[in-house]
Amino acid sequence: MSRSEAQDVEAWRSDLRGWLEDNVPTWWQEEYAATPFEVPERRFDDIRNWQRQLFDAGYMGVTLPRAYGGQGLTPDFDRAKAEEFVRAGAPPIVNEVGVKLLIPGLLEFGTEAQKNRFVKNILSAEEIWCQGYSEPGAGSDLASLQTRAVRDGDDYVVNGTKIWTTYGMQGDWIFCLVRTDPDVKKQAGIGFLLVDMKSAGLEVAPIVNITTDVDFCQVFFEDVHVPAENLVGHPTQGWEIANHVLAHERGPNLAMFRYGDFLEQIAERARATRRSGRPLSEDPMFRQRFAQCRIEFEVLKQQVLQTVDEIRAGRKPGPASSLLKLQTSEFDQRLSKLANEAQGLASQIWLDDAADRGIWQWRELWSRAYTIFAGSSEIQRNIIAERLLGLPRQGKGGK
Amino acid sequence: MTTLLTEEQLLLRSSARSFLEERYPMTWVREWTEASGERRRAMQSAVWKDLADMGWLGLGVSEEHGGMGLGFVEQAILLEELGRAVLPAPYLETLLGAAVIEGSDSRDELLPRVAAGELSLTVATSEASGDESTEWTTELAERGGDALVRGTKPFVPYALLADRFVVAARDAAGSLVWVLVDRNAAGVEITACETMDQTRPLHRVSFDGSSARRLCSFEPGWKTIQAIHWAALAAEAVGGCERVLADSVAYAKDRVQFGTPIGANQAIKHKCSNMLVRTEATRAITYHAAREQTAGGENASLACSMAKAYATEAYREVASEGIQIHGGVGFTWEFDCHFFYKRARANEITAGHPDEHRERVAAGAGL
Repeated sequence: MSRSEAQDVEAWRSDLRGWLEDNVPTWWQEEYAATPFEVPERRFDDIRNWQRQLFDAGYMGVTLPRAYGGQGLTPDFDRAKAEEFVRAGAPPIVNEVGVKLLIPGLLEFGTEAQKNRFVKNILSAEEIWCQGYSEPGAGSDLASLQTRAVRDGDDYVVNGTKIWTTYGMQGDWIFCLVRTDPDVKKQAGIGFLLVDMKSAGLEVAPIVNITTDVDFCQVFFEDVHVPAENLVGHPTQGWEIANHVLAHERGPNLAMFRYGDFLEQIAERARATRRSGRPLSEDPMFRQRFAQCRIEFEVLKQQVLQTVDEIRAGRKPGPASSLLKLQTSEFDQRLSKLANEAQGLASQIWLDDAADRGIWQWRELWSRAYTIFAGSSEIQRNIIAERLLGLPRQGKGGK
Repeated sequence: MTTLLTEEQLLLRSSARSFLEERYPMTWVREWTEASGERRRAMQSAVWKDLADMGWLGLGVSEEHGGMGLGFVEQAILLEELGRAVLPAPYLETLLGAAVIEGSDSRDELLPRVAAGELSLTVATSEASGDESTEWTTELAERGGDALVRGTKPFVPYALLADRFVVAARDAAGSLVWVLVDRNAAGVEITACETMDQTRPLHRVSFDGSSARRLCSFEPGWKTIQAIHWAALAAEAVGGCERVLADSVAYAKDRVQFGTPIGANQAIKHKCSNMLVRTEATRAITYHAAREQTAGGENASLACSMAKAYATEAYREVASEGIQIHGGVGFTWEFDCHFFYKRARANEITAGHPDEHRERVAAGAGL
C-alpha cells in the first residue's frame, strides 16, 4: 500500500468512526454485549433498517464493483471497516448469508443479468436472503441432499424440503442446493438455484428453538416452478459453487475481540455474588476457571491477529486459521457458562425477569448451536485431521 | 506490532532445526542419558562449543559484550528448536544466569565469556520446600572482602556440568541477593540424583562456607528472570508439541490394525486434531509473550505467566496423547515418546505450576 493509499484509508476510517458514533442504534448499545454474532428474531426489523442505513452511507460492499452497488475499494478499506465495527461495538447485518455466501458465488459464476438483478438488493437489504442447504436427512452429510429440481421447458420444478433456514419467516429469496441429476456421484449431481419465496407451492414453517425464539424455519417445496434463468452456473455446478464460496470466505470474525469486555463483566458479577460466605471472586476454583478463560481468550485473540496479518501480507493463512471455528465455538460455551455461574442462583431467571435482561442465560443456550451448525465440532475435527494432518479418509485407508 | 516472523527469524529457525537434527538426533540424546562422569562432560563440552560457534550463547547478549543483541522472539525460536530436540544442555539455565549477571557490576567481565562459550551457568534458587515463594534460608556471610555461602539447594539443573552457579542467598541483613559460586570451589558438594526427566537432571548442591562473589540484589532482577523462565519453558513446549504431533501422525498413518491405518479411525483423528489445536494455541500465546517480553512493557510478566500456564499444560497433554496413540510401543524406552512426556512433566511443575500462574492471571484481571 502506497503512502497516499494509506492516507485514503485513514481518512475513510476516520469518517466511518464518526458515522458510527452518530449512528450505532441505542437499542443495540444496550443489548450488544450478549449478542455479538446473533441478533434475536424480535429485532429483525431494527437490524434490517441498520443495514439499509449502512448501504445508504456507502459502507456496504466495500470491495465490490460499483456497477453492482459496491464501493470498489481495496481490501485495506474492508479491514479498516471490520476494525471500526469492533471498536464501536456495531451490530451485524441482516443479510449476512447473502453477502458472505451468495454474492461471491454470483460474482464468480453468475450471469451479468443475475449480478445486476440481485447484488445491489442484497447489499441494501431490499431483499432478504435465506440459505437452502441443509435438509432433514442431509446435515453433516450435506452432499446427500434430496430436494429435486427437474427441468420442464423454461422452468425447473422443485420438490423437497430445506431446514435450519435462518430468517425463513421474513425471507424474500432463498438460494438452494438442489439435486439436478440423481444418477451420478452425489456431489456431481447438484445445482445452485435461486428461488423466490413468494412462489406458489413454497411454504415456510417456523421452528421454535432452545431459547424459545423462532430463528430457524423449515421450507417446503411442492411443485415450485422456478425460471431456469435463476440457475447459477451450469446445472451440476452447485457443489463447486458452494465450495468455492466457502474456500474464499477468508478472514476471521473480529467481533470475538469483545470477549475481553465480557470477561470484565464476569469479574464484576463475581465480586457481587457470594459463595461460602465470601465473594465468589475470592473462590480459588472460580478464579482458576476465570483465569483459564482469560488465557484462552488471549490465545484466540493472538490467532485471529496472526491470521489477519497473514492475509494482509498476502500469504496463505496458516493452520491456526482453520482451527478458529472449532476453538471459538467451544470457548464461547465455556465463557457463557462461567458468566452464569458468576450470578449464582439468579442465573436461573429468564430474560426480562433477570438481571441484564438475561442476556447471558440466552447466550449460554444459544452457544450450544455454535458447535453444531456450519460443520459440527466432530466434522471440524475430521476435516482438520484429513486436510491439515493428512490422515486417511474414513473407510478409504485400507492397505 | 506484527505477529509474523521476519525473514531473518525464519532463517534462524530453519538453520537451527537442520543443525540440531543433523548434529543432535535422538540417538545422541539417548547416548547422553546413558552416559555419566567424564563421558557426559566430554559430550557437554562438544555441545557447548557447537552452541558457541553458532552464536547462540550470545544471542541475547548485547553486542558490546560480544553477543548478537537480539530480542526474546529470537530466543524463543531457538528454545523452540532446542525443545523439539530435547537437547540435554544448560542452555536455558545459562540464559537465566546471564540475565542475573546483566544486572550486576560483573557484566563487563562475565558476559563476554558467557557469549564465547567459556562459562556455562546454572541457577540455584528453590530449596527443600520446593516453593517459588522465596522463603529461602541459604546464607551469605561477608567478612572484609570475603563472601562465604552456606546452605543447600536440592534442585539444581545440570549442576555437574555448569561451570558457575548463580545462587539466591540471604545476606546478614536478611535481604536476598544473587551470588556467583564456582562449581569447583571448596565446600561445594554435588550429590547426583536420578530424575524422571533424564534430559534435564537435577542435583542436590550443598555449600559449606563456599567462596562466593556477590552479584547484585535479588530484586528487581528476579521479576525479569522469572518472566524469561516462564516464556522459555513455553517456547520449549512449542517445539516439543510439534515434534510429538508429527511423530504421532506419522505413526497413525503407518500402523495398521483391523486392515486399516489407525489414523483412519475418528477416535485417533480427533485426538490428533486436538493436539494440533493445542500446539497452534501454544505457539500463539508463547510468541505473544516473547513479543511482550522483548517490548519490555508492564504487560510482559502477565503475558509470560499466561504462556507458562497454557503451554506447559498443553505440552503435557499432547505428550500424553502421543504415548496413547503409539499404544504399546509408546510405553517403551526404545520409542521417543517418553522423553517428551518427561520433559513436559518437568516443565509443567518447574517455575510455578499452571494453577499458580492462573491465580496470578486472575489477580491481574482484577479478580
